[in-house]
Amino acid sequence: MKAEDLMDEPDFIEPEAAIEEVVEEFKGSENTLIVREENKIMGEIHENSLLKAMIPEDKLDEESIIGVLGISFDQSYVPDNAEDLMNKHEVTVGPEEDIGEIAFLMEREDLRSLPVKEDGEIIGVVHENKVIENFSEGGE
Amino acid sequence: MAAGLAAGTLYNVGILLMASFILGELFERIGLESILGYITAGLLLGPSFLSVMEASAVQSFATIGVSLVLFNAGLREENAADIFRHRQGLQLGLGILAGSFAVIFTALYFFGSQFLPYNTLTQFLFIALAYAVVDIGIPSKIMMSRGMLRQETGKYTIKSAVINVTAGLLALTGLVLVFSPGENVAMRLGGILGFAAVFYILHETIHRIDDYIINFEETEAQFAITFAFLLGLSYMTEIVGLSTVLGAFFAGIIVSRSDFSESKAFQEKINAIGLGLFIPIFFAWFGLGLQISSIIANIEAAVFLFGLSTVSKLGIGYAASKLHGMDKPGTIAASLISLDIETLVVLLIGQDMGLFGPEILQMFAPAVLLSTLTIVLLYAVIDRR
Repeated sequence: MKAEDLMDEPDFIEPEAAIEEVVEEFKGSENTLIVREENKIMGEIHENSLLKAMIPEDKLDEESIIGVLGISFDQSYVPDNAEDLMNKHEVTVGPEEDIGEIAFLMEREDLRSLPVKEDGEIIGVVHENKVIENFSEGGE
Repeated sequence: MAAGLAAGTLYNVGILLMASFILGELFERIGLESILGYITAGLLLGPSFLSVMEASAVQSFATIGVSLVLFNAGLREENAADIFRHRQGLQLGLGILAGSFAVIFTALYFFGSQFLPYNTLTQFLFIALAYAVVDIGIPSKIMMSRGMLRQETGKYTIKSAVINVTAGLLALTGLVLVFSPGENVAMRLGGILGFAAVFYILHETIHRIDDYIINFEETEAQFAITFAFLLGLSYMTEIVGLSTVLGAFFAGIIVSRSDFSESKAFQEKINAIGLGLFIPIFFAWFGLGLQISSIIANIEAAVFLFGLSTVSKLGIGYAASKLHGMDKPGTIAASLISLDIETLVVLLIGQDMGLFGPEILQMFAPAVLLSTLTIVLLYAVIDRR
């Protein structure tokens, strides 16, 4: 099974998009949005990224949010826009990439989706659930 | 003998870690930072109370701990750069840094030698910077406990604090470069330029090198190489006459350019070894070095510095928040007066450069408690109104 057999239409969102827009996108069938700016992949937002922003403040641990010196301030807990929720990565695969390699990259990079790139253009996205639906041991 | 030496180290570290985490948890439960618990654990086990161990027993671990604090800060430098786009936060954060620095430095210039055992401009510059940076831990904790973190007030306050600390660290880098010790100016300049060249080359090439590192068969290679790199660069900065701790900050900035630094597995490992081991030991080491008699002997200087820092930050914080049309200027200003790890780092670097003796830490310690109590008091007054 190849990336081109597994991929769906990509769902893009701009990094400056409001949180309400992100939530609206997830009301459809999508569970992952690709953050793109001027045709450059910046990262992904999985629907579970919004969980951090929903945790009541009295349950938050300030060290997780700000780190020790504060410079590590994690804005996904207090997001203003899509970029604040984004898991940064620039990993893409080609349409001929094998399902085993896709599983390897998703696990290693802790990703929920992988953009499929051909001739510099994003032609689709392989979602984690599509890979699981085609489960086979050793990715054969 | 060697076995006895190793067993003694294990005993010291084990006792210190256990006491730190127990007190850290207790402090968290009463609404204070766990860091204060670690410091208290060191104070209790140190010469002022139980005399279980000396600070020198865990100094090596503490050095790695403070290096990891700065390394983590460097690792997220890009994140902090994003926050600089918050215009009002930028004005408040830089306003407090520059304004408080000017007020404290001026007061030290005219009255410093009357209250402090120092009299050089370099010493006053470092102290003014140390007390002009703000702490983020306490305000975040207070904001969270009041459900204000996600409100405009909370975001504005926290972002301005991040900007203040980041800019403070950059200013500190500048001060260290200008005032690093060394008799031969040419040799010192050569060393710093050589270090800058190495930093630039690594900064620009790390993303190419990590393509190889990421494919290593040994899965722990990324972490091991990063750690070796952090220690190596820290050592190099010391050799060229800069501070070890600053080297760790630069190492963090370089590693933040690598792809693997974004991975969850890498961040979990760094956090486990830092927050779970070395960083608590660093704070406990600071507590071990505190002596009640020295703190009392330096209390006048401590109150003088705390007063300057608090009054200037409150004034500037209130005025800037009001100008920005914020509806809780008093709360915002009160949240930005805390003194903690950020100030400690600046003072430690000054001490590392030979500007201060151990008395500077005795002078600083009461400020942590005084500023926390002042915040609680100010919040109570504001709530009553």
